[in-house]
Amino acid sequence: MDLRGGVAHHRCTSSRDGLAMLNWIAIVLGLQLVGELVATLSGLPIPGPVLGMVALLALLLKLGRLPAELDQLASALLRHLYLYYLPATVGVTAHIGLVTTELVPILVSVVVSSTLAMVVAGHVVQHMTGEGATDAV
Amino acid sequence: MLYDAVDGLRAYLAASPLAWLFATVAAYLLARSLFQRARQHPFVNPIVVAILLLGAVLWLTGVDYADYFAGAQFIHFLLGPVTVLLAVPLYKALRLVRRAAIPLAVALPVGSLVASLPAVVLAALLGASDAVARALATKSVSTPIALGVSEAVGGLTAITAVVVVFTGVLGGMMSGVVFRAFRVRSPAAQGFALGLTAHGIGIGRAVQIDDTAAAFASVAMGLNGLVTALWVPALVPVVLATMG
Repeated sequence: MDLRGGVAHHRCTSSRDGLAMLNWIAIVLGLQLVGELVATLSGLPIPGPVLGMVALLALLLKLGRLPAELDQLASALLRHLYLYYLPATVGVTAHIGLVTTELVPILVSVVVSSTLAMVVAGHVVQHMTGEGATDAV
Repeated sequence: MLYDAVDGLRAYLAASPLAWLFATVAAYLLARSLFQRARQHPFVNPIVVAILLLGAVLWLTGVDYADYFAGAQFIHFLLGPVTVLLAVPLYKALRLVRRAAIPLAVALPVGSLVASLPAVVLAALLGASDAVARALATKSVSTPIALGVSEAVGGLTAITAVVVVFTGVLGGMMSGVVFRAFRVRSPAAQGFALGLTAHGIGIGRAVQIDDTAAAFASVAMGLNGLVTALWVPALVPVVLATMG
């Protein structure tokens, strides 16, 4: 009992001074690092951060709950996703010729494959969950 | 005298990442506020506006994209940790869709292939270059993951990012018509289809349907990103090679 009380007290103080959040930042960076190392050492062309994501998901499934500080960290960072891909997307201004000359193949293939994917994936889920009868649009 | 000062200032700004970090955050904030002021009209898409703003700044100052990126790469770096953190919304949504584990296990690999391979093959048949065909392989995947895959296979990251954003915007716009025409009716199915095809923007649409649709969209986006990242780097170069 004493020990549990001690742990609870420790948790309380650490979340107050932001240490718990910092712990999760370290864990996230650590998992990314491990992911990058595994990807590099194995020579597999899988992005390291994706392996880090698998590791974090496995950690959460094992934990069976979502720690509040991790939830806060994730929602704070994920809210501004667009900002993080700006530096890469601005590069399109350097390839604007490529995009305009190949606009037709890009447009056609995006429209056709997106329609196919929506219809196929939608119908698999609809039929297998047996909810096709209930309308909702 | 004045020219010396201007040159000195330019040299300082060119050597420091500060100016480009500031410009990137400022362009993002400006584009966001314009989007809000236009009542979230799709034509004032914040990503497109921010790209145009930064593109205009680079063009006006005559700065190379590589020099800009050297400064802005600190923001770009955040894509890595953010990808790891995508496990959090995925975990939350997985708890909500546990009942549908078997349908999802079937719909996911099928959907992942259908959202990607036809785009690559069709683009190659229509005469697209190798770089564009490769970029189309990750078109339906959340941007941070798509950029990671693109870097892993040595693709053009800028083209990848633009194709992904374009797919999301277009997928969100055409989903209503597609669902009506092809009778995809249940909220679970609509949500799953939206998240799988139009990633984050699809989730945004699914949220407007209902909570079930939103949960299925989040699971579809998270797992599709994962699955696609696993097979695309291995399979797509082979497909493109056999097509010549």
